[in-house]
Amino acid sequence: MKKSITIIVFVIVVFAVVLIWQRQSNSIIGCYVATPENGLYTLKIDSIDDTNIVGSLSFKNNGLDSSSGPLNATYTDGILKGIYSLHAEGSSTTLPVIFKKVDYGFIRGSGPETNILYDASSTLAVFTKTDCQ
Amino acid sequence: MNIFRSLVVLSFIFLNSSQAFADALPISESFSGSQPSSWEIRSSAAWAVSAGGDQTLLLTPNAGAQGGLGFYNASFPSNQGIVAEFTYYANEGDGADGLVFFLVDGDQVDESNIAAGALGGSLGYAQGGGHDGIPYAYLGVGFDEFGNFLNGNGGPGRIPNSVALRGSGNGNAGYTYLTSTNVASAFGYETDTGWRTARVTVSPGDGSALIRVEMSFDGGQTWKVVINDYQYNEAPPENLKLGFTASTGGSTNVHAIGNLTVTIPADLETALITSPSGTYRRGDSFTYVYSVINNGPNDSGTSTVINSMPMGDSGFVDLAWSYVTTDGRSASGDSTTIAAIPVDLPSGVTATVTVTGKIGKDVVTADDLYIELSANPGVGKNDPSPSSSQLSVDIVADVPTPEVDNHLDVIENYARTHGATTAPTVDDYEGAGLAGVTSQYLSVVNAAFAAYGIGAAITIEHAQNIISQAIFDFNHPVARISGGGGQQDSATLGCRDSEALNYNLFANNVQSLCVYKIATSTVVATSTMPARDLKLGMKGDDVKSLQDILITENKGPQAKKLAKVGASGNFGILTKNALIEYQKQNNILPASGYFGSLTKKAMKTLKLAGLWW
Repeated sequence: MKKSITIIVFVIVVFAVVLIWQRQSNSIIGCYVATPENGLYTLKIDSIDDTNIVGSLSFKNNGLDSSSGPLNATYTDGILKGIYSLHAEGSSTTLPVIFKKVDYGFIRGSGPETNILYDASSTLAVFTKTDCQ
Repeated sequence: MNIFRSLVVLSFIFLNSSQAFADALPISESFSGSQPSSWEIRSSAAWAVSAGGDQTLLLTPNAGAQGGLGFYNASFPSNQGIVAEFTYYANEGDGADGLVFFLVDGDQVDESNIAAGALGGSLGYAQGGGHDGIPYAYLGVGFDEFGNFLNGNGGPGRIPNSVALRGSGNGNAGYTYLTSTNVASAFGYETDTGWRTARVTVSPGDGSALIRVEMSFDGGQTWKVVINDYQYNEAPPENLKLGFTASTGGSTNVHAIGNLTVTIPADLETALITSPSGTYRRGDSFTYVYSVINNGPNDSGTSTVINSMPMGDSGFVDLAWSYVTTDGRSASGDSTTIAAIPVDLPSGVTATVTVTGKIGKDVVTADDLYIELSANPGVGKNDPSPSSSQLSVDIVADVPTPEVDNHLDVIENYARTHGATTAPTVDDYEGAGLAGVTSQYLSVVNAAFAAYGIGAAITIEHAQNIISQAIFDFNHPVARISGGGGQQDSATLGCRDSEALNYNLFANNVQSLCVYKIATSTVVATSTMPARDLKLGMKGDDVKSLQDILITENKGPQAKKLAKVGASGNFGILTKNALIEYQKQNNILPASGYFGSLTKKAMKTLKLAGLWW
C-alpha cells in the first residue's frame, strides 16, 4: 500500500514537472533580437497575464539615434499587438507595433492594419529568441 | 620585420582600394575645364569641347565613320545599384548613328584595355565587321538615331529613334539585344533634335538586375519612362565602371555629353494615412498623417521630407510636425522646418509623420487649400522613381469673399490702430463709420459666438469669423440654410432656423456693413501698388504685392493656381499666367504677362473698392 502511494505521488510529481516544463517552453516570455545591418533591435517580454503583456523594446541604431522604452501589448492567436513608448531627442512619443509568433521567435509586421506584411526575409523584421542579457 | 612591412603594404593597398570606392560615387561632371585623371578618352572623343552651346565631352564630330569613347576609370560596388543622369547632344548632321551609356566589369577593365567597339550601328559598344566590342561589358544603353543598334544579334531590325538595351559581351562574343522602345512612336519625339536628358537606373536583384531608362524632352522638367524596369537576368559583376561611346557611319551627327551625375538609388515613397476630413473654417485646427518609406536598396542619408503648402494668415498657421520611425527614432518641429524636414531613413525603415495646424485668419476664398508631400534622398543618393502625394483641406462657407474680407479688415485695422486687445466695442464700429451697430448687435455676435462653442471671450478673430459667416450667407443665397419655423425674413437674410431671430438682427447689421463698403471705398490701404514695372524672373515685395492683388482679384483658374502657392515675392510662371489671365479678363492689351503702365492704370481704374492704394 505504501509502495502504491509512493508510485502515485511519483507519477503526480512527474506529471506536474512535465506540465510546468511544457508551459515554460510554450511561454513567450523572454528576449528576442533582430539584427539589421546597422543596429540591434530587442523585444523583451517580461510577463503575460491572460492576454496582456508587459515588456520593453529597444532600438540600437549605429550612427543614428537609439531608443528604448516600455511595451504594453496584447497577445492573442499568435499575434502580439501593442504600443511602444519611446523617448528620443528629449521628447516622448509612441509607436504602434505588431508581431506574429513563429517557431524561432517573432516577425514584426508592417503596413496598413488591413494588409499587414510579415516579411520573414527582412532583417528589420525577424526577431529570434535569445537569452536575456 | 618583413611581416610587419607586408602588413603595412597590405593595409596601404586596402585603404587605397576603399578610398577608390568611397570616391567613385557620387559623380558630378560637367566636362568643362581640364580633364580629370579619373577619365579616359579614346579615338574621336575630346574633353571640354563646345557643342550645342555647352561645354561637353565630345564623342563624335559631325563627320562620317567616327567613333569616340569616354571612360570613368574608377570602380564602384554593384550591389548598391546606380542612378546615372546625363544630358546628351545629338544634332547637326543627317541623323546617325547614336550613343551608348555602358557599364563594364570594374575589376577587368582599366586604362590599359578600354577601347570603343565597332562603328556605325554598333554605336561603339558592340562588336561588328571583325571589330571587337567594349571589353568585359555588362550593359549598353543605346540612344539610337539611325536604328541599327537594334539590328542583328537578336534584335528586331533597324528602327530609328529608339532606345535599346544590349547585354554583356567581350571581344567578338555576346552583346545580345535585350529590349527597346521606339521613342518616336511612343512619345512623339526624336532622339537627335538637340539636347536630351536621360536617366538610367540599375537596381541589382538576386542573380539579376532591373534596368530602367527615362528620358526628358524638356530639360528635365518632365520624364517619360522609356524602358520600364526590364529584368536583365544576369547579375552585374561585383564592381562596375561606366562610360559613353558614340559612332557615325555613312550618315552623321555631332554626339556629346553635357552634364553627368551618378548617384546610388534610394527609393522614397510617401503615402497618406489620414487626410484632413470634413470641412474647415478660418481658425479651425486640422491634422494629417502620412508615411515615408525607404524602399531601398540603399539608406537615404539625411533625406528631406517636404510639406509644400501656402503658409501664413492667407494659408496655414500654427504648424507643427512630428515623426516616429519604425527603428524607434522621433523628432518634432514647427513651421520653420516643415518645408524641409530632415530624416535619416535606412533601407526598409518607415517614418510616420503627423502634421497639425490651423486655417489662417485671412484665407479669403472658399477654394480648397492644397498640400503636396514628397521626399528627396540625401547627398549622393537619387530617387529612381520620384513621387508625391497631394491632399486638400476643404475650406467652407464662412470664408468671406475678397470684398467682404477687405471690409473686415476695416474693422480689424481700426480696432488695432486704437490699441484694442479685445473685441471691438460699439464705439469702435461707429468710430470706423459703421452706422447701425448696436450693443444688441454685439450681443448677437456673443450669442453666435457661444453657439460655436468657442467660449465666452471674444477676440477680433472670433468676431471676424462670426461676421464673415453671416456676410457669406447674405451674399450667397443658394448657400443658405433656409426654412424652419416660418422665418421668412430670416431665410431671406440667410438665417439658420434655430437661431433665426438672432441672425435676423445680425443680418440687418450685415446689410449696413455692405452699404458701408460702397460708401467708404478708399478707407484703408492693405497693400501697395507696385511702383516699378515687373516681369518674369524678378523678385521683391512689389512682386508680392502684385501677387496679392492677382490672388484677391481671383479672375480665374490661373489666379487659383497662384493662390495655392501663395504670394512668395518671386515672379514665376504662375504669376505670369495669372497676370495674363487678369489682363485678358480686363481687355488690357497686349495680355503678355508684363506688369507695366497700362496694367497699373487699368488696375487703378477697375478696382472699385480701392483698397490697394
